[in-house]
Amino acid sequence: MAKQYDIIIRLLMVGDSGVGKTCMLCRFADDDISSTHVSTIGIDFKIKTLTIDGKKIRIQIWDTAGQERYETITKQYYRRAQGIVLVYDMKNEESFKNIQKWMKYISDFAPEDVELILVANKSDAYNSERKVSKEHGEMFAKEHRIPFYETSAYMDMNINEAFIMLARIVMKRHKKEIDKQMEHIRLFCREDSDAHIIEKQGKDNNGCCVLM
Amino acid sequence: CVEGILVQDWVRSSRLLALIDCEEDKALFIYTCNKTPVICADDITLEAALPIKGDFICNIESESSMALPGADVPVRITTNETDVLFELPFGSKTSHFFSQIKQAIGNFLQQTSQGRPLSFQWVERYRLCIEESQQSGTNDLFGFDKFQPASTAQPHTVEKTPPPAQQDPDDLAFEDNFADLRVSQIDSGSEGPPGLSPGMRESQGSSYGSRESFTTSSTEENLVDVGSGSVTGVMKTMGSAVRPVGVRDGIVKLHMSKRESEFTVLKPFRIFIGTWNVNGKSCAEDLGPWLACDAEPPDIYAVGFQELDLSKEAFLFNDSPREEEWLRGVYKALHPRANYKKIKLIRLVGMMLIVFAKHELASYITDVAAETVGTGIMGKMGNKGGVGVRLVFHNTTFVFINSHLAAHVEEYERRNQDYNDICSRMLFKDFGSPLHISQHDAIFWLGDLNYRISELSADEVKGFIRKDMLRDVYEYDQLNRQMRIQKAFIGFTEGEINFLPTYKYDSGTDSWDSSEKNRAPAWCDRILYRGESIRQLKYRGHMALKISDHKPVSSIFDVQVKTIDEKRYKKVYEDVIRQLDRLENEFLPQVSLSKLEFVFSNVMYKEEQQQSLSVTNSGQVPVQFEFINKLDENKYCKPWLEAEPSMCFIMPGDKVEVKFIVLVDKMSASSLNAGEKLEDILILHLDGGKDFFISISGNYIPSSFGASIEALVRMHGPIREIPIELLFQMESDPSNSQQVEPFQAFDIPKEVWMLVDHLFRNGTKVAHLFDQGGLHKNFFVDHACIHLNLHRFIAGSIHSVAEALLEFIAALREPVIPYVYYQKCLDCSNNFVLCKQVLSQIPRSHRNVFKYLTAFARELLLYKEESKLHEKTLATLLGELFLRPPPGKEVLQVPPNRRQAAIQQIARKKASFVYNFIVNEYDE
Ligand SMILES: Nc1nc2c(ncn2[C@@H]2O[C@H](COP(=O)(O)OP(=O)(O)OP(=O)(O)O)[C@@H](O)[C@H]2O)c(=O)[nH]1
Ligand SMILES: [Mg+2]
Repeated sequence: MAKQYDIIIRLLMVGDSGVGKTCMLCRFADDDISSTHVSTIGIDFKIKTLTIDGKKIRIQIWDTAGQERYETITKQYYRRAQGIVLVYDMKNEESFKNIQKWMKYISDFAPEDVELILVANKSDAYNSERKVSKEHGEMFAKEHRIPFYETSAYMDMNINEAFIMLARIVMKRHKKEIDKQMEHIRLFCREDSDAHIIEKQGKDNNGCCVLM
Repeated sequence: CVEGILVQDWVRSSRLLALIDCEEDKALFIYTCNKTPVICADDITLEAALPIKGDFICNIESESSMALPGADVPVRITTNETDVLFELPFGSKTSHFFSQIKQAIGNFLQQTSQGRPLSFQWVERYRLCIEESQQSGTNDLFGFDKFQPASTAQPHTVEKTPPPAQQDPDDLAFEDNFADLRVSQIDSGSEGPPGLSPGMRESQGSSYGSRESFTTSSTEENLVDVGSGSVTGVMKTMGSAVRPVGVRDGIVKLHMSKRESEFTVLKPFRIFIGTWNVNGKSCAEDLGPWLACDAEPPDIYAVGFQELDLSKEAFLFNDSPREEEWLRGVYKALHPRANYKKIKLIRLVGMMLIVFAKHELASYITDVAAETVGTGIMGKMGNKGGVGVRLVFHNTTFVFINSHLAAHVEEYERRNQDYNDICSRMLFKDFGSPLHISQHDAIFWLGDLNYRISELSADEVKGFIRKDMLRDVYEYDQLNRQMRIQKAFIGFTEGEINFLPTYKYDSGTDSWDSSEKNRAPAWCDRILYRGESIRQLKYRGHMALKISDHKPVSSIFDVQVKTIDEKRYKKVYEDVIRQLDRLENEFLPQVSLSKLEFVFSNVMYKEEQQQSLSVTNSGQVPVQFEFINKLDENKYCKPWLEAEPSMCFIMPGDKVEVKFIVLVDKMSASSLNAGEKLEDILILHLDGGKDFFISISGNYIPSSFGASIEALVRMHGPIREIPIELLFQMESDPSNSQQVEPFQAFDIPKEVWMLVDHLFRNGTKVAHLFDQGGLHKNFFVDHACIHLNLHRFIAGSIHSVAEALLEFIAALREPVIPYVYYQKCLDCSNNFVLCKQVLSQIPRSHRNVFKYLTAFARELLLYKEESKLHEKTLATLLGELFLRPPPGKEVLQVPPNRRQAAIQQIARKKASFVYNFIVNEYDE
């Protein structure tokens, strides 16, 4: 009988409606963006299992409705997030300006030790379509000392990197707890026989993304 | 009972919490789930039994309490010995459970305060059982070692309740075989599961824990013995949305092995197999000519010996100095052109098997295990039998068996038997389910198998050999024959034998046995193999070694080993994980909704409107949905809205209609009159899944019902003709006496005047004026008249006009006696002088209404005979209407047992306040 253990990280995605949160999540979790697409009206989540630095982690990502009229309700979901992805659309200046507003909600409603990353989505856009320069995004991120990524859900650019980065810094923040539990798992649960292979891979896997 | 998740920092594991009661006292039982979903009693193990007494505290974690709607509720349970945190699934199930626990705590306090302390003896017995079963581990409750299903735990029995009217899947109660314990079930509320019939109740203490006590009760038809493993019901799947990793590991492995060919590459490796019966001799010879006679060094060696030690000590105590000696001898003689590492050595009496691998390959060898099987004396002793080593090399599984089978020419059937015994008894443990020899990719069987040459005499054999006719001798070889008729070594292959029989020589020579027995030469020592990708390169005897009466045999193989292409492995692994994740995401609860926005237009006071939403379970699992509260709100929707049903269970493919009912009544009319919008967003939460937001909006037609006296007296025309902004302004600041309109304010609202005037003219002599509600339809007609300021009431029922008056007064935004005077009025209710004083302080328009209505009451009482009205009745009626407690003070802060009395007292005070004014003439 397999032991039941679980290390879960809860991430949340916020940002204006239409910036591509749902597409990013579908790309990350299912590697697929459905062609028929509707604005999210509610809160949805997906699960993804990852091996990060040799640790098997389950990530639960909550996708929120970006429409303004739901803000009062979505704010209540910030409470248990350990990491939040702030998304704007580089083709839409307004959505970048609104990042301020989302940050405000986060500081009001999310836990104090929540980790953040800033994501500019739709990097597949033509130069002529771009309204927010990379520098602007970078500057904002630097000011708030959070990692910054330009992604494209369409082209599958930087999506994994962004999520994994957030998962990583959340893990780093909670390293003590995680290590303690990992130790328990090692001591009391027999390692599956292919574990050493995975671990070996974790080691030569450092080309993925480097922290700040 | 309720399923929850035990939280240990970051590790969550599922637990089943059950509130168990035994007559008066209750206890919380915590079960570990050995399997999810929990289906039968074997799936759970009792982990802790916490009596609900003084030290029992159960609280929703304050820090994150009422966290997000839909998220699991963190509940901390503390006793003197325990402090644990659970996450319980969000929803009414949990809140019911929670309230039951609170009740139990309350019950305990009450019992003790009445001097009837509860003993909890029955719980103690459970606790003893748990302790016994946990003694092996540390004593830290909820430690990880407790995850092991404790084998000594009590057998449990599941009782299936007869299917209730409602289709809840959870109607499953755990009934222990202490027959008098009952589980209070979370969703069957007061009904509870059916108890056992009295005749079946065991007296406490007798035969506790015994299964016999249970069989008597199994006569009751709805009891099912789970000991036999029958499944008695479907338990809800995990409340938590995330299934633990551990459960998935097995599945991941399975998928990986199915796709093995995608990430493995076949690469040949050279294997050396050697076997020698050394006849108890010590290692006094160089083994090089046997072990290192090839040019290429092999990658892996498996070297087996028989009769390594013929001493009594070796036989009796399996202890031999020869082991070390021969190991050293072998090690020294391994191929000089490579470095070898010992992987495993196993010995049973005289049978020894050593496996070596090249140093640089050792790290690719995993899951090494060794076993022995004795088939000697009494079929058990180690003088005969086999020893085996299994291992995984890259991704290919290997097993090497070294055996020494029964001796003597005629005993070939015994040898077959030994072979079969070894096959069935050699089990490599520690790898999930025990592995048989046959469950390996490459199998090598070596040893002194002891098969001889039948039918030929010693001299005939020697004659053939002299003429180099080995093939002819082989025809008479017992092993050859037994294999051909499939009596032993089925599936194995043996290479062609081109070497002389290895037995029996005079020790130290190459000459055949010269003893009196004159044994016929035989190929006792053999090497067989089984597996798809094995190629035999050499199979030979080694005449150069002379110390034994046997000659050693060796064979070289090339084995195509499945090596892992790390890159491809990673890709497949990630792919498998992704597929499983996707599957898991697909198996989350899913529904499709017919509509997400509902607009109700022209909503009017007390006029119900309905729209319906169809919820279809479009997912693959049963779904339970529920409308949940928003943060800081105590109902899932605004007071003017209702969803029917507000919670429901849907099977995949099924559809449920939810009705949204909008009805504005006196509770909500005033705030809507004051400009609050008819708008709400409902959260439809799927248990263990996503949330939907459903928007409800509409416009409300303002009504004089729910307006304030201040605004009403300033409205000369019908309310609907007043510009809406002006109305909102008047309503949002009713005390602002500044004239918004050029008119003089009325003394009392014209609606009150109209209604009372009508009643005064037509109803003073009507019996039971306020007792009978008018017909509903009439009420609405009258209602419209009021709005339109019509002076005639069409429908004839005077009763409905009376009802309209009461409703109108009750709906006033602020009652006739303004909230701030509420308490004062109650306090002075028995003193008319003081009452008058208070009344003189309230705003004029309110006082006018009060005076007007009490005067009307006095008028009615003049016709007591006809109207059948009584002062006290009227006083009570008007008291309730005039005196409403301020918002937020509706609930009395008194202990529950005194609540009823307190309510009655207040009602009396209200009545007596009004009574003063209807029995006494009153003027300012
Ligand atoms: N060019 C481009 N378009 C994208 C990309 N990602 C999403 N979109 C488009 O942006 C639109 C909005 O995407 P969604 O994922 O629904 O946006 P959202 O942030 O979830 O919006 P809400 O659910 O309303 O909060 C869709 O039409 C997508 O096709 C991208 O990487 N590049
Ligand atoms: Mg979306």
